[in-house]
This record gives sequence, C-alpha cells and structure tokens, in this order.
Amino acid sequence: MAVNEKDTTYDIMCPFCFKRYTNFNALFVDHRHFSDEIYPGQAEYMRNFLGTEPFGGREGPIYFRKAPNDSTEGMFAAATEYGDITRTRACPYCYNMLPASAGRVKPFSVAVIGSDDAERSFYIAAALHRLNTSMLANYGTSFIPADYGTALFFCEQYEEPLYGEHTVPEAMTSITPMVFEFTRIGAAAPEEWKGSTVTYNNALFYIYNIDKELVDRYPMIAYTAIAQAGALILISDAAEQAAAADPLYDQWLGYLTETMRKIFGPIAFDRPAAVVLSKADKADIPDKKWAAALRSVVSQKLVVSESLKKVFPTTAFAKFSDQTASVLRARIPAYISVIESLFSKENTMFFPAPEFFEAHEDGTAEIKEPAAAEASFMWLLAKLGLLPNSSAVIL
Amino acid sequence: MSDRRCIFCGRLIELETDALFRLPPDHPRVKDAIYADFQKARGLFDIRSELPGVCEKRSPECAKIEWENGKPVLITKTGRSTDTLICPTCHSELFRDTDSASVHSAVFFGAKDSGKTSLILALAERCITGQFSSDERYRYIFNEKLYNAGDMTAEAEKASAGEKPRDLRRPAAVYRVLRANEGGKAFCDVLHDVSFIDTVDEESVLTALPFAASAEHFVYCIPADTLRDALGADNESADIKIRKDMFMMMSAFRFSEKPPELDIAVTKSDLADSGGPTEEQVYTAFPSIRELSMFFSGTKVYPVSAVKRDSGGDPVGQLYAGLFG
Repeated sequence: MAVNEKDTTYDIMCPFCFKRYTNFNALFVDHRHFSDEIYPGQAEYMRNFLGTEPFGGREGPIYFRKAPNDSTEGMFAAATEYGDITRTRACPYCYNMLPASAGRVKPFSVAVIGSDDAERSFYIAAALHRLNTSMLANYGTSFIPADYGTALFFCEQYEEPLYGEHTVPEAMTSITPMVFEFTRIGAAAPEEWKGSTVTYNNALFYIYNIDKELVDRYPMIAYTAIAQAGALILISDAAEQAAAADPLYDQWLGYLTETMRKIFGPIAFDRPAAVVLSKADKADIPDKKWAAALRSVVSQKLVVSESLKKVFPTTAFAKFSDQTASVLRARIPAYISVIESLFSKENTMFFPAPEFFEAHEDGTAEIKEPAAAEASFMWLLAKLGLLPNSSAVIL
Repeated sequence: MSDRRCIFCGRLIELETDALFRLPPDHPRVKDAIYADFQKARGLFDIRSELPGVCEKRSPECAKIEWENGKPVLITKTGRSTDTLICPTCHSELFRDTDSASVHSAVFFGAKDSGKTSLILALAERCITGQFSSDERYRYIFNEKLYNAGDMTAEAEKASAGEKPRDLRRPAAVYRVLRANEGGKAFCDVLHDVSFIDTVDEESVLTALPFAASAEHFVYCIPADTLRDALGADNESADIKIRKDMFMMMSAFRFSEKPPELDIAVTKSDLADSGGPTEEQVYTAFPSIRELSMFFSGTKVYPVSAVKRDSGGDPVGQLYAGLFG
C-alpha cells in the first residue's frame, strides 16, 4: 500500500457502463458466499450487450459496500460479513467486476472504429498481439490483458484463429470491452510527473471494437464509448476510398460524419486520433510519395535511442504522416476534408498500412505486415504520456 | 500462533475472535449445509454432512474457552470439551501448524493430461516412503486425515507405471518437522490439484480457487512432448494456449497483495530426448512465459517425472526442495 493513498489513486471508470466514481463507492465482492439476490442491471447488460449470462448460470456472489468501521487495509480491501478479507470489487451501478487495478491507475478508453472491410479486427489482433509480445523487449513495459475475461476473449476471438489456426476470425457480435493493463516494470511510485518524459507509469486501457452494425445494435454503449474515448483509432480502407467513383457521396464518410456530429456536435475530436489507411498497398494511387510513405512506415524502427534513452520516433512518423496527408489532399480530397473537419489537426496522425492479413480462398489467412498497426498504437501510447517519444520536451 | 489458515479455502482465521469449534462426537448430529456445499463444489458427493453442530463463544452451548498449549479449547455447559477447530467459511477442519508463518501451499496447474496429479502423488509418495533422504534435517509426516498414506502410495505406484490416477479433490498436506532434539517450528506443506475444477471464466476461478490467492507457488505442468512439439512448430498455437493458462492462473491472485512464485515443471521428462529439457528450451518454445513471469515474484524451471529413476538424482525431491525449502 502506498504511503499516501490520496496521491496515488484515480477515479474509477467502469469499462461496462462508463460511470465514474471514487474508490470509496466501489462495491466489494464475496466470492466465498452466494447471494439469492438478483442484479437486474448486470443480468440485462450481460444478456443484451455482451450476449452472455451472468456467472454462466451459476449463483451470484454477494456484493457489499465497505462498512464505515471496517479498518481493513485501506480502500482496496474489505472484511466480508463472515470476517473474511476480499479485494475483488464491482461497479455499484452495473455490478460487473472491475479490473484489479481500477482506481489505482489512470484509465483510458480507446475506440476503434472503421468501415466494414477495413480489416478492423485484423488491426486489433495484429496491434495487440505485437504489443503483448514485444513491449518488454522494446521498452521494459508490459501491455497485457487486465483480466481473465479479456485474455480468453482476445485469445479465442483473435489470436487463436489468426496466429494459431491461420483462419479468419468470426465477425464480432457483442460489444464486449477488452481491458488491457500497461505497466512500466520497476517504476518508482507514485507517478513520475517531473524529470521524465512519461506522465504515467501504469494505465488501464478499455478497447472497444465498434463497427456500423454494432453502433446500430448497441447505440448507447457505442456512442458513449466514442464520447468518452481518450483516444480514437479510425481505420479506413484506402483501396476503397481511392476507387470511389464520387467520394463526396461515400457512404462510409457520410456515416462517420453523422456519428461524430451526433456525439460532438460541430466541435472536432481534440484527443489523439490515429487514422490508419489499411490496404494502402492495394490502393490505386500512382504517386511516388505515397509509396515512399508506405515503405517508411513499415520499415521505421519503433524504438530509437536518443541520448541513450529508448524513445518512440514520433518525429519520424509525423513526417510520414504529413507526406500521406499531402498525397490524400491531392488524390482523395473528399476524404481528407472529412477527416480534417472531424479531427483536430495537431492530434491526428496518418498511418498508411499495407494489407495486415491476406485471406485465401480455402478459408485460411496469412499474416502479412503488422508493423503499421503496432506503430499507430504505440504512437497513441506516446501521445497519452505512457511511452517516451522523440518530440517530447524534457523538463 | 493465534491464527490458522484453512487449507481448503485459504481463509486466515484469527483464533482469538473467529474460532469456531465442532462439538464433541457424542453431541446430536445435524445437517451441516455449509460444509456439504463446499465439498460438493469440489465434486465430493460422498461426504458425511450430518455432523455434530458447530459452536463458538457466543453460542448457548458454550460455557467458556480456555487456552491450552497455545490453542483454544471450548468447554460446553455440559462439561464436555472440544479442541476441533473448524473454518467459519467452509466448516472444514483447521489442522495444527497452519499459522500464517507455517503453512506453505503450492497450486498445480496445467492442461488436461499434463501430469499434475501424478506429480503431486509422486511428491507425496516420496515424503511418505522416501523421507527425501537428501535432506536429513526434516521428518516428513503425511496428514492422514485427508488421505490414507497406503492408498496414496498405491495410487502413486500406479501413476508411475503410466496409469492415469484419480483426481485429488482434497489438498494433500505434509508436515515437515525438525528432529525432536533440534526443536524449532513445524511446517505444513499443502499441495493443491486443480484438475477437476471448471475454470471457464474469472468468476469461476475466484469462486472455485479461493485458496489460490494465498498460495506461495504456482506450479505449471508442461509435458515434455508438448515442449518438443512447440519447439518444432511453425505457428504460435502452443504459446497462445500457454498464455491463456497463465492468465487463468494470474486471475486467481490478481487481487492479492503478494504475487506467488512461478515454477514450471516439465513433466514426463523421462519421455524427453537425452539430456532433459532445459530452461532455455522452455523460454524459446513459450516466449509468453518470459513476458508474464514479471507478474510473479520469481520463476524456476524443473524437469520432473513421476517415473522413479535409479540414477541421475531425484528431480521430484529437487522440486519439493525448490517449493518448500
């Protein structure tokens, strides 16, 4: 337990219902005893939004609020009615379980939105799989699922089909958030606010994979996820955008504009946004600059050493992004004008990416080039103050 | 010594305030639903659920509680005494020498048929019959209230001959005591087999493995043939499976303050190629283990086999020493 809890805690944001509250309001869960009580809020959420049953049809555990006279180990543990100690907590509004580090670290939510054939799921699989396995070697940090539910879901929905069986994953039918935890190993606590190029040593990431169909089916969650998002990843099919007969009447751009305007009104999204242009190698854009930007994004090392310090090369990627934007301005002006009207220029970065995976006719899929996917996610981490980056001002 | 840990559910009980007693055997037997439910949750349907009632200092049957030799004894109003302590959570018996400093527990995980039960049986059998002759300091005494030593030895013999053993639905406990003339503290080493537990999601892990949060060692059993196949495989399927299992293990202690140690036991090592599997091979075949090992307080790799070998040392004994010192 930290010496001064006040300085090292954050408000909790529930990944399921987006309610924000302090650690004192979280409920504790007694898994050793079962309750006859039914929690309609949770049952409804699980059934309607996640397509699952609470507790898999078993009896639910007892939820309780910490008693005022309970002196058990600060705000992250409580004594149960039976004198036991529990550290498992749940949301007081929707009764879903909170990640273990909720309230201890900064929560960020990231919405991944994209058009139907833009390889959105492949992007998530590639980026998170790479981050899962390479962050320790690159930065001495980890980026792993924060709970068993996410680990199982990510493995069964994305990793196992693509990296194990080489098959195309099935389409998402629920809007289950994936909760990942970023941890800087061996970092001093509390957070290093000064004298460092990073703002947070640890963070929770709630990742929402949202497409048009899921927005239509679960509008409340999808709109709130986008509205609350600390960062956004927009995936567009570059090949489709480039080939559109009349880009002004592009359905996807219209839908994107409508959705963003519904949520933010006339104000541009001012938080970090990575615009990933998938299938950029398949796009019919005969421009040397486009090919050069694509080549550079793929071949750029994701870790560079500046004064013996490992940093993310933000400056280099900003250069490639500017190159890409200038090509888009010349070749697909309708697309870039929509993006520039919806996202603030200074917090938006373009990542042209070759096809992430190639699906064969026999149902198998071949992993191609995940470098751009990984780079875009790492740029977001740098932008949110979790990874040191080359354009940061060292205090 | 004023606390005891329940080796079944992992709860630490303060004897001063929370001690609960089973009344003497001549008291009327009543249905103990808490005990029956907990045992049934572990798949034990043949237990006796009609037991003498439970009693504590606030119960009408209780006259007083006295302390004898550092442990509480309840005297009933009829003048009978009982020193059988039970856990307030699961109503299972609390055994001696299970205070927070004495009890050491290890949870054995792994895929189906990875040799978890055989390994526990081999460890228990070596304690019962072999006394781990390499370590002269201790005497190993098997807790026969949980399993009969003879049955355990016979089951271990079957497992070492290659037969599939029965699941161990109760933990196996071994007392490690110093020789009488050396005095000192006794230890209780607890081995948990989780083969039979259905851990489909986080809720079920937390419900079914309450003892795992306080375990000091998580022993992950990987068969030698799985390791060999993974080394030669051209996809990441085996590593992804390992990662899934590791996350399941981690979710059991994710909320606790002290992370356990991770021990990788490469089981069925008698089937491995000459020289036995090495630590480097494990990390090469399963890079996830290296990535996730930072969430544990330490990681060690042991090549073990339930099959007794005449030469080449005692790998099972080395694992026991690694786990419990």
